[in-house]
Amino acid sequence: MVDIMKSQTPIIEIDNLIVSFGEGDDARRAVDGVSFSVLAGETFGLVGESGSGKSTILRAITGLVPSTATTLRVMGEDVSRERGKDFYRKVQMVFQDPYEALHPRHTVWRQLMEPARIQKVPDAETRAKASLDAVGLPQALRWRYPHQLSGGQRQRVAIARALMLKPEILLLDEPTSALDVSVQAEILNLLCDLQEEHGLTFLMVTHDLGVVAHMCNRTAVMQSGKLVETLPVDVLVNGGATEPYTRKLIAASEAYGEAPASLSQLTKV
Amino acid sequence: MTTNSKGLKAWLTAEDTESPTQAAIQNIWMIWRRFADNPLGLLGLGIILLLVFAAIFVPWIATYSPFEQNLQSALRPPGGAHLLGTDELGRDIFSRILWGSRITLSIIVIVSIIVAPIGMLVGCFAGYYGGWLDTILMRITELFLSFPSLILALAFVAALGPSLENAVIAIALTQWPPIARLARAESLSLRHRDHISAVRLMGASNLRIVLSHIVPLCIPSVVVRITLNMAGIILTAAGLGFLGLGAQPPTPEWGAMVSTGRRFMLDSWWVVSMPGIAILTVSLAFNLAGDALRDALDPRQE
Repeated sequence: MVDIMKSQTPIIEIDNLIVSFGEGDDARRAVDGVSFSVLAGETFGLVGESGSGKSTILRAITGLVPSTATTLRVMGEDVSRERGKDFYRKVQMVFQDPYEALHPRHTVWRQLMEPARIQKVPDAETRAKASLDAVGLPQALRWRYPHQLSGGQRQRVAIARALMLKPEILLLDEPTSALDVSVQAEILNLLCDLQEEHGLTFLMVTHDLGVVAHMCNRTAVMQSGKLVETLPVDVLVNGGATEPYTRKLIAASEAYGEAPASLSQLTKV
Repeated sequence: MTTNSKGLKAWLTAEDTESPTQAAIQNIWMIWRRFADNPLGLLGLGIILLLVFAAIFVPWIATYSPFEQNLQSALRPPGGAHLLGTDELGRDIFSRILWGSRITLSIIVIVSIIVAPIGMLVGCFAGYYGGWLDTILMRITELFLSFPSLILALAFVAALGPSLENAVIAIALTQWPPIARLARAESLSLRHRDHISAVRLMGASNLRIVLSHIVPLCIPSVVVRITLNMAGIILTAAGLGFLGLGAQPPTPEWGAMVSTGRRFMLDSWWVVSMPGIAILTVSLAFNLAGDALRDALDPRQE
């Protein structure tokens, strides 16, 4: 699954991205001079422990938090200052907690139609039905409210909503960490299928090296707002990480029972 | 869809909803079920419905005209031809209370209609936008909040001249700031929630986010707050009436009735007590219903 769509054109280019919170002496850099680029069609992972700034990078790309960068380009367009309405047709995000990410008082159908209404998509209803099919949800669910759905179903709705605008890039913010283990695998496989079908590029944040091994082509390791190293996943899985922090991270996840060695069998099916 | 009650029940609780209307009705049904679990809330709702019923059908229920004087039967105790007695001019208190319910209800409705949208818009915009808009709007709100509401209402009525319309305007002026504060607090907590971020990532304008995503989520708590405030509105209106700054005689407004009756309180207790009991009952009913509504609308119970 990995090498088919990989191209050499960078679709997201980030150079020296800085996000700081607070002002004056209290200012703290959550993301401190991060540079990397994501190639079209690949899955790029961002790993690191909690608070290392990985989710903040996604929020900075989408403009949810203010940031400064020498370069911040998405599909060749400079988006470091302003993002037009068009930007959101290209880039969509899937959030960590699917219950939080859905409007609590809107039906599934309304959640799906909202992006189409905002962007004035002409064939909205057809698209919404297709989106539900794409994420494997029965059409009968469309008049339900989020609280009537299971966690996995909610995340599928969130993914379906992200697909409504037919984006090129999906930003995935720990899309499975709020779900149970069996459901995690379903959602990850769904994401892989969608990527193949729609030629999506994924930028995925996770703290789970197992997920990285399963999904990603390349990954960047982060520690307290800085990028420690960027390496292909094959190298990571085969113990080729050079930085001590990366090795520590792998060791920690092995101790937790997610040995990359056993994962390497799981990865490349 | 079947029309018998069993079919209706199944339709209301069906897992697989077939239409958006059904989904919406099911939602209302769930809220009603939670509301109905609270007997005191039902009692409150019952009293409010009775009040509304009375206000609509007064001409057919009232036994006398509210203005008709009959000095020969002045200050008659309750019983006989006059169910709740008569006042110092021989007017039937029962009929006057019934006609007064129209005044009370219209005050409540008009004040709520003025107050809810103003408070909600001010609060939601201040909370969502933050920055200088928040500062300006909230300082204005605090200006109104810094006076006790009855004093502020008194000052306005004194300036505008005593009448029922001015009393309504004065009460509305004192009632919107708490709503604005509540709505601001709600939208402050909502604006960084992921589902609002998600709408921003669809490219929605700020105006759209506030009006179609933040405001609807504030409505339940504002409705509850206004229901609870209705007791306060009734009491303020009665207070203004009592002080002679609200409805003018011979309008059968409950507060004004208490006020004129206090001269005869020792000999003829019913002149003061009957409208007083009416004020008490209705205020209590709104409080009970408001409490039950808050529990029923609380999304945390879902």
